[in-house]
Amino acid sequence: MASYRAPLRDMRFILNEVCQAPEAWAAMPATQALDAGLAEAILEEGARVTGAELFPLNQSGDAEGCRFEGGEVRTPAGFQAAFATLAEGGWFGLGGNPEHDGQGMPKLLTVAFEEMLYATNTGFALYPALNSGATLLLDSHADAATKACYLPRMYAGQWLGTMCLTEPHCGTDLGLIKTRAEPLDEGRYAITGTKIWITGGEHDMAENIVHLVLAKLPDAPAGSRGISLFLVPKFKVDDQGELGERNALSCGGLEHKMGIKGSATCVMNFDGAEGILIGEPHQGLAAMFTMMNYERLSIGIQGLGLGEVAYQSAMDFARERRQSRAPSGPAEPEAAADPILVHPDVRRMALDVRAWNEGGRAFTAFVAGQLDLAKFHPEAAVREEADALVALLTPVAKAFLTDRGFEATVTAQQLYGGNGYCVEWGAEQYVRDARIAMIYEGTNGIQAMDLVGRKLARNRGAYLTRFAAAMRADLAAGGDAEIADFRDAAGQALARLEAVSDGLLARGATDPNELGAAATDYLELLGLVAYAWMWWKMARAARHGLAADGASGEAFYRAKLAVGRYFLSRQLPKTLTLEARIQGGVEPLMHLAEEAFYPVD
Amino acid sequence: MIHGPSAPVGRSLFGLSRQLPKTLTLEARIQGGAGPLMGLAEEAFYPID
Ligand SMILES: Cc1cc2nc3c(=O)[nH]c(=O)nc-3n(C[C@H](O)[C@H](O)[C@H](O)COP(=O)(O)OP(=O)(O)OC[C@H]3O[C@@H](n4cnc5c(N)ncnc54)[C@H](O)[C@@H]3O)c2cc1C
Repeated sequence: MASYRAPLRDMRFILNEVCQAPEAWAAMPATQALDAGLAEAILEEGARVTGAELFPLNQSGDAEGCRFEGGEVRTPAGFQAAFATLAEGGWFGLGGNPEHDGQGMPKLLTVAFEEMLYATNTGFALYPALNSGATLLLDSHADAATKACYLPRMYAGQWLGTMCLTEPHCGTDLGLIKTRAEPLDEGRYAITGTKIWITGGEHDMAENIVHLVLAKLPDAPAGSRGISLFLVPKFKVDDQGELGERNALSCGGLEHKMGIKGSATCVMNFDGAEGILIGEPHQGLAAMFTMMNYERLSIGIQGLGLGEVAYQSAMDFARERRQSRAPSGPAEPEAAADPILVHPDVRRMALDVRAWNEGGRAFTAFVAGQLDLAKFHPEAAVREEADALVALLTPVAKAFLTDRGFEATVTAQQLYGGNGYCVEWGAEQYVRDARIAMIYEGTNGIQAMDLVGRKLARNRGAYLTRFAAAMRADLAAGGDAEIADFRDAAGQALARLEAVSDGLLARGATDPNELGAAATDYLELLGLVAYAWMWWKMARAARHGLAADGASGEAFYRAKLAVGRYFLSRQLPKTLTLEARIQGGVEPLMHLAEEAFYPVD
Repeated sequence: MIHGPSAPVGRSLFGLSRQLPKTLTLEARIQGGAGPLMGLAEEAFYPID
């Protein structure tokens, strides 16, 4: 059976010992009210509610899926009730603006709750994840009246937000969209067009659905500069926030897909639906990026949550499964065979998954902490520094975490043998649910292009220079000789990244294809270097923990160091391959004529 | 680096410079030995609260 308990010990370690969250919160007026005790209570209750309400619906929701009946979408049995329970508990406004009844919790804390949501039920988690991004967008770009009307209801889960970008002929290249917005009177617009693959476009869990739609005004310039953003509700809303008649929009059907079957992926038809403009005309894509950047980290956490539940479930299996004998002789001679964890190759699989998960949890928290600094810190210089790191690391968080998350679910599935392929244990569902995360929210290839293009080449490596300086300063801070291997390995990996970056910037200046050719490998290289930094932070905190809390925490801290050393010797060496590939340059990719790609008889 | 117009050469060029470098990772991993795999006690594989 699938099995999951929120990894609270590790979450506490990351929050309190690695990120020193209580101290960070105390230093910022907006987060001063939050202390370690309150954070702990939120984590425990989050673990309880996701474990009790969502995890039991994960496999049944996958088997049943969403249904499209007479223009309406029915979510799987139990989703409505679970949604109501979480909404009542205030969970959908956890990170929301307190001025509009949100709970104002920092990202560093809310990412832990998001991990629990995705781990227990990814299909379900996507509804609140999109809603959180939509509220963030409205909070940043909508006018005061719109915020006052929509935000409290969306935080309460009474209304839920969506993100409507993709059209049948374009996903990545949004400059091509055809959806039109015609001005009506009193600041209203009529929106007409078809959007596809809209997550939560229609469902039965909230009384209204708030679509954030990209469309073009009649005078729009061509391409992505001509895109505007509109709020288009399913039911029209009056000045008092009361629901009126149904808007001229409808769900045209549901997509049948590989995984996340509890999540309704909808075709949405807008037939002159009334909406209001959010932000300035033609500035819609920039506003939408507020939401997309939020969603990118969130989707990264989808990979992490699924990696964690895949690991825990696989360990549940491994605990029971006995096959063959340990290479060094029987470990349990009285039994007919030894537990499979005696085999180094089984440990390889378990440790690969575990090391990716623990590195990913620390990295997620690091990026979240930077987002909090960028938003809440009183000093402009600190905010600006954090902003630069967030810009650099957001594509890495999306793509590296989801690539590792998928790898983790496949590796965990392999650990079961044949049982991993069969439905009962749940391992195959995690693989199917993890796969989409590499594709939506901007494919991982597009994340890599964003990294090498906008974040590296455009400012000639300025963000990377800041990242390297911050990492180097941290590698020099504290830590004892016992963990010198962590410091040395991270330092060498950073030096390799810097050398590769210099070469790439030089080649990219003369041939833009060089950047595209290196992009995916470069993102992975930066991801590995960032994880090496995180493992240094964790090793340092584990050494502190051993000194301070040697008796009760010893097993945890020793395991942390052992898993970290696994990362250093088995995962970090991939940097050698990535360096060689990137230095191979553009030639191996662009050499083949286009016709030569197509099969010949 | 191999240059040439024909598709097979193009494919082997890709293989040599983009796929073969995996050997670097594999060599380093293998040389890391059994220690990193066997260092963790069995109980430590199971989740704790
Ligand atoms: C289940 C699901 C849910 C979704 N939810 C939503 C949603 O809620 N809202 C929404 O608006 N959309 C949603 N999408 C759409 C999703 O975001 C897009 O599928 C994704 O952005 C990729 O666009 P595309 O499918 O059109 O691929 P294309 O843009 O056609 O890309 C095809 C391939 O070309 C590559 N490519 C394209 N351009 C470049 C380039 N410049 N450089 C290098 N490579 C390039 C891509 O990486 C990809 O491999 C969802 C999709 C799915 C499947």
